[in-house]
Amino acid sequence: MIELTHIHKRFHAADREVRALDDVNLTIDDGEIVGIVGTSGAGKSTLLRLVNLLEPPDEGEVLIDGRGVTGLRGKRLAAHRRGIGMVFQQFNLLSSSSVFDNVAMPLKLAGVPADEIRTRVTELLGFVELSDKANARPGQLSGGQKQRVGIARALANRPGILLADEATSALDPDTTDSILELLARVNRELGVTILIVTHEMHVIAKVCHKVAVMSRGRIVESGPVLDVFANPEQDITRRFVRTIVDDRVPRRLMEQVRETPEPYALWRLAARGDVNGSEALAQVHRQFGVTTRLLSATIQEIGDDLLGVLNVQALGAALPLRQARQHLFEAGYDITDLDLHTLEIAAQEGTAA
Amino acid sequence: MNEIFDTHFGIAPDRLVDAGAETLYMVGWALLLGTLLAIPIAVTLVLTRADGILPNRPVFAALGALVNVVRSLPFIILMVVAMPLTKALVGTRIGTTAALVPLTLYIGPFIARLFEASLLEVPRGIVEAAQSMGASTWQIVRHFLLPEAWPSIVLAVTTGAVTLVSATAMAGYIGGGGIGDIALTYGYQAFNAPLMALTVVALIVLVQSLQSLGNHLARRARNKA
Repeated sequence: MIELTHIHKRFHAADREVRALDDVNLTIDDGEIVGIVGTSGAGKSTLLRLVNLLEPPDEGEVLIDGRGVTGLRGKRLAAHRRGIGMVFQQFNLLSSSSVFDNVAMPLKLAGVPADEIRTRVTELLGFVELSDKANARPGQLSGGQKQRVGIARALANRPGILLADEATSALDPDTTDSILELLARVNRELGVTILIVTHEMHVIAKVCHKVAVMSRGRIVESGPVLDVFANPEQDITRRFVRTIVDDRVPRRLMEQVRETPEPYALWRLAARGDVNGSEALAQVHRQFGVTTRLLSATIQEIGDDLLGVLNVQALGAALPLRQARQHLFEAGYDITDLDLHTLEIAAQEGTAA
Repeated sequence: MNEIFDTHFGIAPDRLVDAGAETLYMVGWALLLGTLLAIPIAVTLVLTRADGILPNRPVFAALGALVNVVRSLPFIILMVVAMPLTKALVGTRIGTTAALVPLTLYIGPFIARLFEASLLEVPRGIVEAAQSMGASTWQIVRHFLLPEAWPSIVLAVTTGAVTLVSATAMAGYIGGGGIGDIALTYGYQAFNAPLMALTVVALIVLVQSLQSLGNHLARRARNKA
């Protein structure tokens, strides 16, 4: 288990102080894949580097399995870091060494005997499907292959934790997916806890179990990925979620909504898994005489689940609307009440990327 | 044959061969000693700078200033300034071996600055990756910084060698000998134009060969699997 408690970290720029981390608290259970998402400069890379103390905190404590690690120095710090693998956006492979030697490096540093290194590296290259590239140099590999080498290297000392700093941000979409699948396999087959920093919500949607959203040095929202996608609470989170689940209402429909006379209600309906959306809306019409006008609809795969998000305008009197809302809630929808203003802002502000 | 050479160039060919050997002796040893001096200086400068992995302002500033002071001296002055040290180390102030002391002092800080630049070219991410593996400072230098900077370091040594060739020309002042000394003493000062031309050609060939060798070694360092 990784626990970050009341972490503060400040950087001193030329003439001002930057609060990189401002009272950050986060708990990560063993075996989870946790994503940290945020815009650049939000402090997410700094947060990641707390775990292996590449960035020691100014205040607060980093606990690994209940033990404080911030005071570690010398050999004990080295031992702590060997238990944590790290992969980087720019791969950071030794350009002058072969793939084999790159993967062997952490073992060599740890003083593992040469024959054991050979066995382990061969096994690792098999795991990342690069057995045939052992003698190649990083310069001869594609970006995706380089990141596979990076992952093999990070796993060399059999770490319990893997830190991924924008590990897919330099890769094209197909390669990104293959690297994400590899990370999911590392988690599933080796039981490694993975902490991923990214600015791409796609990464969160594809492999993460939990997500923490960062803005200006703080974690503003966190929880299971599907919950956050279904019910984003903060504006910044909504902007990020919208990059995957785009529930913005087209301009022309907005005009119709504006011209509709009261009474009506605006709802954001989020359905997970096998909720039968259209059936529930039909029942609402039959039972309570409430017509629903669809303003936007999208269904996305989030991890192994499905998430459907509808924005609807429900037309009817106050009582039938209340009954309809209750019925949809019981049918399994997460319902958020919207107003015109929120929808308009959403249409204007677009998505975070 | 020897006489024909003598009549054309005014000195015996053996004299020129000896001078070539002296030049190579001075360049070779001064390059080796200078490089051995430069590596710890460059590594210390890179480690102790403000954004290095062992920031230490006093050490960085003092070492940088020392390098700059020595580098400010023209070689001809350095030879004179270094005389007490030369006497202490070699036992004499003059001769080819004595010339090694100022030559090393001259080239060491020069190569150190080139090495420093080579080491600074290694991406920060490489050092970060090393730290994330739990590498000690020494391991970072030994297994990450020096290997990654190696091709660039080889080129820096080559530049140092070429610079030394021109410095050895002045070593004649303290009896160092060498091709440059022949060019000045027997060529320029004796108005012997053919000999002058011959020594210039010899120096050009030497410099070209050193540079080609350096380029070749750097290329091999870059392409080694």
